[in-house]
Amino acid sequence: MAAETGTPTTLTLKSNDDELFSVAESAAILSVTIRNMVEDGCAGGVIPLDNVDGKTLASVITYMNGISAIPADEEKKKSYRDKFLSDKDFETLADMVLAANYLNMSCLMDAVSAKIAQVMEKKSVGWVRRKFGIENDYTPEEEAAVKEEHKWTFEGVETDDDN
Amino acid sequence: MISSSRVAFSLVILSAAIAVFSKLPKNPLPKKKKPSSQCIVKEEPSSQCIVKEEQSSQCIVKKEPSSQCSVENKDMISELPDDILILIISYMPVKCGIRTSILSNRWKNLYRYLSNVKLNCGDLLSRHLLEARSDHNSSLIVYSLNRFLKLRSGSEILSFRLSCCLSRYQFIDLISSLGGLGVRTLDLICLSHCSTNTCFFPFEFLSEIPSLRYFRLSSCILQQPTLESEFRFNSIQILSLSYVVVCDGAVEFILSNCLSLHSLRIVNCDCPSKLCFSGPGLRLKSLYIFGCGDLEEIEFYADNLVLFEFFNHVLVNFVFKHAPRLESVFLDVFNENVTPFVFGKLAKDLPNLKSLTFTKDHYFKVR
Repeated sequence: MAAETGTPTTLTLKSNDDELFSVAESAAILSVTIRNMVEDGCAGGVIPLDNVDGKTLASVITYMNGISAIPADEEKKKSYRDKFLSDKDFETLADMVLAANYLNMSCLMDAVSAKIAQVMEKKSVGWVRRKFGIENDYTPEEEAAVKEEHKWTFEGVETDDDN
Repeated sequence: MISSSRVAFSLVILSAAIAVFSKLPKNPLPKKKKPSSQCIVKEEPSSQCIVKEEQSSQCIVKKEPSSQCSVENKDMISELPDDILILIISYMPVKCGIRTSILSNRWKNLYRYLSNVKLNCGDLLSRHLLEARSDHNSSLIVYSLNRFLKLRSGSEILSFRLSCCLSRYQFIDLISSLGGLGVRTLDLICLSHCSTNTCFFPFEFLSEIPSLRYFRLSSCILQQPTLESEFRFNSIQILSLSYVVVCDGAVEFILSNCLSLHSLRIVNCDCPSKLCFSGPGLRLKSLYIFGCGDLEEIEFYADNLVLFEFFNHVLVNFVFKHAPRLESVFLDVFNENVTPFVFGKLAKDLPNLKSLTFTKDHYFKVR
């Protein structure tokens, strides 16, 4: 996409599955990784992002555009983040946290981590294992020993409900 | 030779298994570590498996290799790097975070890297004990707490916050457990709804946490220790007391024990009528006093004091014996006109003052 005169600078990002995305530089520099490239003058052509696939990058760019359109108002940014993450399934969240880590976007990383934590907390161990496909590689004896060690943490409300 | 009823029976099992698969797509199958072309489902004795079978309560189903088996089981969360998993755990209440250790070996020790720990009675006691207040058994709290801290030995806790009700001796135990954990910020709140409402805090034992820099104490009693041998230095730089009963001699004791103290806040405390901020080599730079009703006189002999902020409903008698570096004073006295004092005695006592603010409405608003 050729830059038209008078429009803000746009950058072209390339996912690891060769999808190309145009994004305004002002939004893209939310990523410290990209900002460093821009500052070092390495952002002229296409910026390859080897650790991010197209689907995830599209999501991240939606987030970049959304959050950078909000003026400095932490409350509004927070509610945008909450809304943005509310409909994401776990697989997407996991991809996004990895992408946020690679792109060095701490605000997205914190928000996604908090969201995953929110899903996990207060749920029973069985629920978390099922939901996230965590393989229980403890022997029954080992599992009983860990449970005994942290006995006090297993008291209280746990739920198997999906909500 | 296989009888037709056998075939029908196998089909029932197979379709039951498929039903289970489609209902619970994320159900982790017990992974046998063989690179199997078959997927073996061991059903727990469950209501889902309604198969009339004579010999066994388990039903073992042999199923054709299916793409579902490999895809649905992918444990993506455990594949995340350690620092991200620790970040995720840090967003949970501590109790939930520790509970993740039961998930699998991958998760067993991750909670140990949490560097900010916040706990309260409710976390440490089970719910039914907490509701029956008469049974509010602090020894159980201490047991859980010590167990937790013992398991933490070897990894640092940067900040530790506990809102709970402990006795003096339980606090001494806690402080000694925290000693080797590198705690820099300590925040202790003695909850008032507990049966033992009068907690004498063992301030002198804080020397056992050599890494401590910031200490906040709420809702308990500070006494001057009776024994001379209790005189131990600690490394606190910032101290904040709120809703604390400050007994005679306690502030003087603190100043002589905290040789690195540069900032002290005393908020809504019951103080003796006279407080004296003096001491050899006192490093105190900033002092903030807010709403301490019983105060009548404050005496200063503070070499390094730069900032003094005072919010109260009445003015007290300030005795500036020695405050050569005091640059800024902020006075907010609600019930009195401080103008004659400011332009009279204060101006005379503090000729080097660079900034002076006095108002009478802020105190009321903040309160």
